[in-house]
Amino acid sequence: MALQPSPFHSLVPLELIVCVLGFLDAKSLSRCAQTCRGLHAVVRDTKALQYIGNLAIFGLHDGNPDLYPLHQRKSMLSRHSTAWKQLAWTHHDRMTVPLRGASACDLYGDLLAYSTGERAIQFIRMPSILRQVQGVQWEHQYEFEPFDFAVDPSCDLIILVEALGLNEYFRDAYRIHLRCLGSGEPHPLAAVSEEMTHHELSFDLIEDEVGMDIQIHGDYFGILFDDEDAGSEIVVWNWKTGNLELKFTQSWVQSFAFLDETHILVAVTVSPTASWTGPSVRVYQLTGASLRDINDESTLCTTLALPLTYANPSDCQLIIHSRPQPRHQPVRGPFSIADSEDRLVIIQYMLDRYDDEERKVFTFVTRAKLISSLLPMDASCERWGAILPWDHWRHHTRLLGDTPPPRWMHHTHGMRYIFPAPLEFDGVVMACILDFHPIRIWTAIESPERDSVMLPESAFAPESLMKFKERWYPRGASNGQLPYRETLVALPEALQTEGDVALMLSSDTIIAIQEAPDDLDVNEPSYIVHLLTF
Amino acid sequence: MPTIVSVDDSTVPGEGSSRLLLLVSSDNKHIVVEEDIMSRSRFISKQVEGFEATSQRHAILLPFSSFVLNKVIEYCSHYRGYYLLEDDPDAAPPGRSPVREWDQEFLDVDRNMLLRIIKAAHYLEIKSLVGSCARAIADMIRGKTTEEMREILGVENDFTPEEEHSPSSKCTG
Repeated sequence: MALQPSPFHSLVPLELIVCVLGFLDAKSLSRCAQTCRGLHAVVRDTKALQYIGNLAIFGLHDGNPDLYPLHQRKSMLSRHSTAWKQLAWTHHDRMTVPLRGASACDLYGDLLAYSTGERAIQFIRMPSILRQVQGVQWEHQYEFEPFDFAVDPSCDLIILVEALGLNEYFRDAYRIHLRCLGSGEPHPLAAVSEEMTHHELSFDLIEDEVGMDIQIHGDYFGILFDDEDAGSEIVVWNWKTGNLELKFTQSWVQSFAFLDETHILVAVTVSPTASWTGPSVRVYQLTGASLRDINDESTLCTTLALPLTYANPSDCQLIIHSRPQPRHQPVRGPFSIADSEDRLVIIQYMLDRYDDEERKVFTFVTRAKLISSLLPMDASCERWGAILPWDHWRHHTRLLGDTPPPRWMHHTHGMRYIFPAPLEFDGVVMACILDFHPIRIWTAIESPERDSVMLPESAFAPESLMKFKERWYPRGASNGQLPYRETLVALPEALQTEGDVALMLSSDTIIAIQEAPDDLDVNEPSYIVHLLTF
Repeated sequence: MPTIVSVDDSTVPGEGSSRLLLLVSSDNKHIVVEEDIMSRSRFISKQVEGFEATSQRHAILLPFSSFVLNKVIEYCSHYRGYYLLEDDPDAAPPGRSPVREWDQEFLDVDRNMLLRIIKAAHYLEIKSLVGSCARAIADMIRGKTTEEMREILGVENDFTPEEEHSPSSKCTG
């Protein structure tokens, strides 16, 4: 190889150049290969550097490079990407989980958790066969009965909510416990203050019968208390400082999700105070300072207007979900799936009653990175607090037709989305997975599988949507332009039944949950959980 | 007559059980350093094994300047007694290796110095330092345009205009 005499090239032997280039991401590596002939040849001829490019093509991220030799990592990578392309899982496992309310069995990244007794929670870290990641299962007993709980995606912190019953003002009170997931002890980084005993926060709530949604992201965690009569309340704290960051008590607040380190998405069905009164997604900035004014709107950076007209708020629901949260995850195995930079944000608008027809679900799929790119820099910016019409962000979004209504959360993992319930074609029950990863789509277009790719120009407006056109697309808006790749796969025999099946997705597992048939020999109502592991 | 420089006055003979080594740099500076500080270097370890086999100790000549050598010794002194996974994969206890933020600050030097250190580390076979330097160089060019990379790496664009515009000269992986 003829290397030019120059400072960088004087770094011969070659292994030093390879060592430096091995720390680059695929994009930088590609640019580096274009600097000169010498480096181009190095990148072209080095297997370890080609592997970086291959990872990028399959939308994966390097894990611990010391774990396996290169030739083994390459063959694992090729088997893994082929399996996901065809949705050909390697192993089918099933287990019975006691039925203890809908929120008591949940998925946090790759961790499945459910309560097995009044005070006990069972945790299963799901394995990956193709990445040779071991599954782990353990149970923890708490000294109180958790009303609800959530685990952060890096599996370090667990937040448990204990219902304390009515306090002296006849209000429901809850105590929030911040614990280490592994040990069950109070988390050492959790906030300690005068009011908190044993690292617990406590506050009052007006409602009595509540549903709950807890989400953790980095230093923040938020809880949505949802009550059909009294409305809902979203409260966001910084768990390391104990600061109360954000609090909404409006009845039209429906759901929330963290966007990035400093922004939170809040779904509202109506906005009586704003000029756009219809359903929208509001983006609030988390400032790191404790909140003084309840319902302070000064941190509202942008409102993303949805192309739907006003409906009676009691008839509709707007739900956002996006998981795992963008936070560093411990990478297990030779490479990882979760992309900390980008992931899907799913916005679902559900209409309970419409002209006496059955429930309608409108699913908008967009990317966190693209929402971030639309946000104004800071409060001094002219666009701060502005309302963004659908026409301005539909290029970054895809509106899916008739998707089944969400059951459990976690229909999305990274850049993939699974239909919450199976679809039936010619008597065969199938799972449908949509992949929005731009590079994987690009590679699919270049391959014989190009038919499975839905491009922006591909006609996609199911009749059921057209029917509502006048009412639901007041501005003649299209269904958005984000491309995706669709893959359908028949579910195993055991799931080819009439019973309700809910589908969820994690790194390397498709999870199917169905209610156990009555004749099953169990003492209490149960779910059967099928784990289809790659 | 070469001058003798002691790296650290506290490392006088007899204080620890470690024996002393005499390193000679390319600018003919003599540097005395404790043996166990330099045990991270496979090259030095092999030399020491040779001494023990022949029962003869002599100065170790190194092909880089004392300025670079002192930097490497500073690195080795900092991690004295630490197990770093790259240098000793068998002996490293399971669990975390120490925080490597220190390396970032330590390697906050200009590009030419960084290239000299990585070459010295490579010669001395100190894998952890080679890795940290490589990471630091990669950090310099990550996210830069091709033209900026040429500037930083000091390479000339030697593609013909046709090659530059043909897709085959681009690495797609």
